[in-house]
Amino acid sequence: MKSTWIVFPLLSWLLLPAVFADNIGRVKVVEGDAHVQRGGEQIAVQSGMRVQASDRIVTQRSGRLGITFIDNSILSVGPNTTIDLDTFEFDPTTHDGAFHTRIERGTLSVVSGQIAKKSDAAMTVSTPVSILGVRGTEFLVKVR
Amino acid sequence: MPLVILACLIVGVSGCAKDLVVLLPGEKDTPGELTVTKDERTVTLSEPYAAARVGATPRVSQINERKVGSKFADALAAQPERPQHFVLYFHEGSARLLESSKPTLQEMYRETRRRAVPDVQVTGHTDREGSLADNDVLSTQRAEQILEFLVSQGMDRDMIIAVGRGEREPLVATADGVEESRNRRVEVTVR
Repeated sequence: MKSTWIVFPLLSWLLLPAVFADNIGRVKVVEGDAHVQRGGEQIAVQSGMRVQASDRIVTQRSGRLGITFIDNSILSVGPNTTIDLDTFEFDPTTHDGAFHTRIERGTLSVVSGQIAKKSDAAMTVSTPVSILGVRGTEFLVKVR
Repeated sequence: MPLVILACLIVGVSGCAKDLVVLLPGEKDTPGELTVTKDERTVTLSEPYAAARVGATPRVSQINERKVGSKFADALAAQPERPQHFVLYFHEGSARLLESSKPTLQEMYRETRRRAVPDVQVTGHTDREGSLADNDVLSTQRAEQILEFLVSQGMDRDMIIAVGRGEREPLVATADGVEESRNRRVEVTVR
């Protein structure tokens, strides 16, 4: 009995990375023309859809959308915006993780979550010319 | 002012188009900090409405709240609702919910129904009575109890993440082996 109780948590930690790889966050708000580029495909954004690490998210002139992530961080973008979800890793048990986003152009609003709270270097946003280190903040970025 | 415009015309539009970063007040009016680094030059924003304009180097200034609203209107309008948190309490050594937590359970469930696309994070915790391993299991059982409640009410299992954090994150710090009802809990985040 005792040994199964020790094995169970070990097994669940092994399961964690597989469970969350394609469930890092969901689009909650979307208006107008927006799509995700994923593995060579272009997918129209729909409310409720999951996003994945390595997704490139693109809005056109009419588009804007907002995403909540499983560490409770929030990204929302305005029109004519391109962002890359370069890295998203999160362990809900320890709150260790990494969240690196790149904004290629456009406007981005960020509310950071548990990943940034756990460690100073864990969440960053890059623009083509700069890198932002996020420490428990809400902020806005505009790239021309 | 005219000199600046002239300089921009000479340099070219892209030379004068600077990236803009603005730190916002944050929910509890604690903005935290944001570092902005370009070519090994770093500035730190730590006041509400501190702004960095990133030209040749990043420069810090303040920005007007209204200006922020107009420059970022669409991104701000597309911001999803903030996550809402609920705490549910349990009997000692058990995954049975306290009677007194039933109203909160219903409140939490109503919040999931109110949102267009709800997804839920359920995190179980324990006090420090019992072994680390036993508490890992117990906290997971508590989280799964809440998950099963939501599924029984019609929520898609796919939209719920349930984990146990054992005794790692007590609300109230205690010595090992000490029972503490405030730590016997499940924290639910509705996104």
